Amino acid sequence: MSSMENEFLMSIKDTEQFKGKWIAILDTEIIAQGEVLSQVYQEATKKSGGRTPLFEHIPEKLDKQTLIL
Amino acid sequence: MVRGSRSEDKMKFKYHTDWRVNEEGKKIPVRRPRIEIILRKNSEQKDNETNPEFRTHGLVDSGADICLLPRQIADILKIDLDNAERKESTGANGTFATYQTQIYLEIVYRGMPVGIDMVDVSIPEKDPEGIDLEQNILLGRSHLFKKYEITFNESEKTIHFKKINSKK
Repeated sequence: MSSMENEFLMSIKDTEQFKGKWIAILDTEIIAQGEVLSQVYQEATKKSGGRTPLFEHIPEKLDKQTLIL
Repeated sequence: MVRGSRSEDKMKFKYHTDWRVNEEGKKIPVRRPRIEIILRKNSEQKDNETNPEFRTHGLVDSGADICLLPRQIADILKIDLDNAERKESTGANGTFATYQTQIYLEIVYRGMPVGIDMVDVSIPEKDPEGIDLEQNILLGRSHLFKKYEITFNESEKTIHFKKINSKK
């Protein structure tokens, strides 16, 4: 069992609206989103009441499949 | 999430599910050994002014010597790059300039943070081309693989951490 925020993240199948953006998740809610991480972080910190949201970047291109690092 | 770091001798994670679009335009799940992590400048308690924390996912990468972190996350964590060592790092797409320093790493297991250690981290001056670094923070071998025996089970899509020198 992972965190509530992680479970919520993996349940989001329709990520089209978030392409190229950072999202901040607290409990089962996206509390901030945007392309500039520093702004998303600032907004999420204000809304999170001292808790630490989960941040995730949704890739611009969803057709990338293979990672060679 | 409850605060307070703890220690765990054994941890098992399911691979993280990313959603991708295939050639026919259908959404398909892609599972990777990405685990939830928390990063801070040092091991002290979170402090938004002096020691902010960032919770996200990192890709466990046995092929990477150290961790790799995008510059914008380093800025959030208020890492002092002026005093960091400058080095060249090499990836699949070639060589790129990086700052090398240390950050504090926690792994989130069952919704609770597990303290790991200060770990070596490489921060590119510019994010390298061809890698979506924002989505693929790399958790390399330095420190993490010295503390835990890490086993990938590709058929089960799970990753197992077993603390080294832990009592059996």
